[in-house]
Amino acid sequence: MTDIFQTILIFVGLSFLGYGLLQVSRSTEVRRGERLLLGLALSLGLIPLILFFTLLAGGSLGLIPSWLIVAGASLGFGLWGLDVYRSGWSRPQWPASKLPTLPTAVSIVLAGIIAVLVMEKLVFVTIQGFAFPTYFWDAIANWNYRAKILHAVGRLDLNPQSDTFLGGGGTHYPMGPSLFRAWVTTLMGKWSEPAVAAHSLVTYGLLFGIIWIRLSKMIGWLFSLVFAYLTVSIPLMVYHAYAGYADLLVAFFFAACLIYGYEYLVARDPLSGVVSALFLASALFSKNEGIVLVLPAIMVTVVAALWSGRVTLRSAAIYFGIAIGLILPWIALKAYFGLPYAPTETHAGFAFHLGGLTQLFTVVFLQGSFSLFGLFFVVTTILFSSLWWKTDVGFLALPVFLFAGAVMAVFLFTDNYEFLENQMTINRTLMIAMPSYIYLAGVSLGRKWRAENSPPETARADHAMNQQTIPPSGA
Amino acid sequence: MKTDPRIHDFMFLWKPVGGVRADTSYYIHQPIYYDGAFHTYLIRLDIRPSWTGRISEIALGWTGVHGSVEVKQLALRSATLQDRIRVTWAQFWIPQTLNARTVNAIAGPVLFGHAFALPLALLFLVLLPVMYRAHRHGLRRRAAVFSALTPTRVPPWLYTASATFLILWLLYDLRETYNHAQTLRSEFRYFLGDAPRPRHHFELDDFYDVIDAIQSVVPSENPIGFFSSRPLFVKARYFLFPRQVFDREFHPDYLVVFQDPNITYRRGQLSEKDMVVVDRVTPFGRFGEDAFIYKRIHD
Repeated sequence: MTDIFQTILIFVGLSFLGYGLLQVSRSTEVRRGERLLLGLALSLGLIPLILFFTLLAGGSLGLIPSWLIVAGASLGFGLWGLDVYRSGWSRPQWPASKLPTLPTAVSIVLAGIIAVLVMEKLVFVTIQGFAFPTYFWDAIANWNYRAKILHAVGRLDLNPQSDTFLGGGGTHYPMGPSLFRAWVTTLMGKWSEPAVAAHSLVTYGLLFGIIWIRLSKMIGWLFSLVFAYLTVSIPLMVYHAYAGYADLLVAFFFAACLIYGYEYLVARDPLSGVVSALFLASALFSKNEGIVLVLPAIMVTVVAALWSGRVTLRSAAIYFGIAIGLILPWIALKAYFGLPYAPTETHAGFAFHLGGLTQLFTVVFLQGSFSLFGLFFVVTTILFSSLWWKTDVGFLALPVFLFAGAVMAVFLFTDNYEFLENQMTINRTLMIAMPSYIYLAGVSLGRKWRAENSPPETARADHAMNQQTIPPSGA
Repeated sequence: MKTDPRIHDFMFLWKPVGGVRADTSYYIHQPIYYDGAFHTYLIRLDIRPSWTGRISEIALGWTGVHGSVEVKQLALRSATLQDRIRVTWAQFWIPQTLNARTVNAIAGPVLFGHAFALPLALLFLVLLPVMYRAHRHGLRRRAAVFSALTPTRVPPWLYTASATFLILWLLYDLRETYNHAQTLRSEFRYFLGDAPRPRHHFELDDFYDVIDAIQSVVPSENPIGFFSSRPLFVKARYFLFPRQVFDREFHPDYLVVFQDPNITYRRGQLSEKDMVVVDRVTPFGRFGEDAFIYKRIHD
């Protein structure tokens, strides 16, 4: 029980620490509650990168002392308290488009049903995560095993002949998730299975929270609740919420990267742009899929945005400067030691497996991993595809489809077909794109049928500009 | 039938007369409940071509070691329409409790021989034109609960369709919730709270408690040779870290044998498939029926 309590304290502390750091920006697009979630979310991605640089420079995992975290969290808490004191608990009114609200009784019943089902999932995954030791294979063989070695060794072993080289386990995998878990347990002073499980649990909660908050600005709290619920109720997602794998983490970072990247395109909010770049770097340092699949998808999208004049060359350069700059040492290290991006070199070879399309169809439509997501995908694609062609929502759709296309290409046109056939990784890899797609569908809904009295999307940018010129009430 | 936590699977087997090969037997695999209660399992045999014709032998099979099974009644009979409905219903509610593959893919509940998602999707696709036509033919006020109350540019039929889709998704999710409940039910009975020791966790059996026992009796600085006929070495290595664990190697001073019928002990010797592999060992600890710790004797 003490472990669980300590773990909760650490994650709450990280949330306030991140909140404090985000207060540097005066963005009006990112609200107070959202900043708390973002503070925690960015911690999950950036702390491993900071630790990696520290270890690479010869430092140890314990170099960031717990008192520094406590001091930072206290400062963040103070700033949060000050913000609450100044502006109260009232929520700012957003001029964004909203679908008309449902009758109160319908809203209450629907929200009640969804709340009960979400709570059930949270209770289930929390019990699985906190009451049981690590259970699933990859967590045992790689992610948590590596974390356990890093926790014990405390430093980065760069001897390829050693059992603890880069933390052991699957050395070609990015170290992000394992480093974070090792760091949390180092803070606690002992190895703790609940603390390690909390990493996935928190990611699951953040996925729900950030999709709900972000979409609520566009389609209202109830419709956004439905979309957030769809995301976390995908059956496979529930098991990844405590499995200790990195797929959920990449799914979250990819979705967050797109959410805030799109926000930047729409509202020209610099904080959103920076946050998107940081989430991209976090995705790249969490799984090989980050560099192989996510990065190319984002690159093509940014080039398309650049081509259409939606972003400047300077913005694009800063964006990739942040994301790739942060991940460059890891890429260099991998190149230096000749570590592959595929599980083994044989899986990188080209081969055509068009028969796999049938299996792909079976996986998405005829099995239980994704509930009715296959139907949701088909219906929403038919419904919104014209919108994606004609409006800037296309910049949100493009990376999602590029990613999904790249996943299919990897499984159909390389020897990774083996993992489609035995279903070891295909479901998890497809799952990475699903939160982003559900968010895309939510945004599309808001854009296609906005309320008659709501302002156009460009008005949000004007609103943001005006907000920034008005001094805060306490000033 | 009622099973204890050490039973993981159930099969019905048969051998037809005059098959392609005389010794060929066939089986149907049946998932089971992990709750220690009696359940009726209905299995349709007529879906398998090998069941037609004359049958020479039938058998029941279970996987798992040292488990206990209680069967109250076994009946073979021609399936009536009522039986077919009952089989479909029973098949739908067979819980998909936790297993090591759950994190890679979920088979999902089965209804009418197909994944539950398929009948739901087909139902939606059938209803879609119905909803569209209903709205087009002036039934808007009666059919569209939401559209009557929300004057928007959203086509009313789309509101109804969205509501229908959400209801189907909720139905699927409720079925998933049932799986979660069954998993928790088994865990609370056999692992959590005041569950009797040794505790059991699905296909891992009492592995977690065996690991605890090893940690408590084998001195922490000593490496271990781990033997199991199941792929559990990686798990043992993880949970026993930082202690060194070797997979099927006999040189460490302490040798742990967990559910490995190939390794036997007799008069101070350990044998693998009847061949002596370690000459001087002594039993150091035993945990349950199939977990043993041996210590090598050095003079």
